[in-house]
Amino acid sequence: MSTKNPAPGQGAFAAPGDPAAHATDFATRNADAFERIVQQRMRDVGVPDHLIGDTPFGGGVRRAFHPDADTGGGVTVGRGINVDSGVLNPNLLGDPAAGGAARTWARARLRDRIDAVIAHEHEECLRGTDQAARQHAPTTGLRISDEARAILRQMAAGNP
Amino acid sequence: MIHKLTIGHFDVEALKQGRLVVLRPLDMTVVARLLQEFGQVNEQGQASLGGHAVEAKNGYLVCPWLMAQRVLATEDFARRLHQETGCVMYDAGRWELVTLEQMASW
Repeated sequence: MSTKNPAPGQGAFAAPGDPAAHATDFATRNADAFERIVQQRMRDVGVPDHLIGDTPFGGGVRRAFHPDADTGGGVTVGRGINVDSGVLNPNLLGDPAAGGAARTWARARLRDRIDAVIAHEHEECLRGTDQAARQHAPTTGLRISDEARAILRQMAAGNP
Repeated sequence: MIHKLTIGHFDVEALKQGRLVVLRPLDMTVVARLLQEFGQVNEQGQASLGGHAVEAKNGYLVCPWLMAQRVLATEDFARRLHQETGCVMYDAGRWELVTLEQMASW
């Protein structure tokens, strides 16, 4: 007989034990759909076509979405940017209970997380360093959401 | 978005082509000692740096580095491990080797 109210941490709606592994698994199973979504979002916010996508680590075709990677997104400086399965991981920036960027990220919509990653990687692609990307991404010229800028401001504040 | 530091004894030419080839495993005695010094190791033997988990792979490590905040413990750990073992640091998200000099301004 099924339990109507399972113990905390159990049941169909329980949080996965390893959010990163869960995110990568979901991303891999839906990689082509995410590829279309991320490519379109990059165009919508104003990323130039020649910077949309790059080659995944380990080789393969150029893609805007890398399901096997788990860092939110990556960059080949000067050549292209990608979003990865990390956008599906609420704990990507750390324990949300710690507050700051980790909590803002965990509470954000997927669309806002994708926007934040696109802006960060775009700035890193143009400026060459993560440090510069953190500094300039909150004021990016890309048409990202206000919620994404809030995430990026939190990240910049954590890295003076 | 975040950057992890992949640390090990790798074929540098293969890294430039986006392939991770381990030439020999890290000396885990040294790794364990330095993780105790710069990070935390729990009762199950799981290590963390700056409160973020360290991933032990087949002969190499993937360490949290540029997270919501910069994890200075990872930089200190990597610096000492490099000095003691001659290991290589690599940013797989950018396909780039990381030198000790570059770490502070990556």
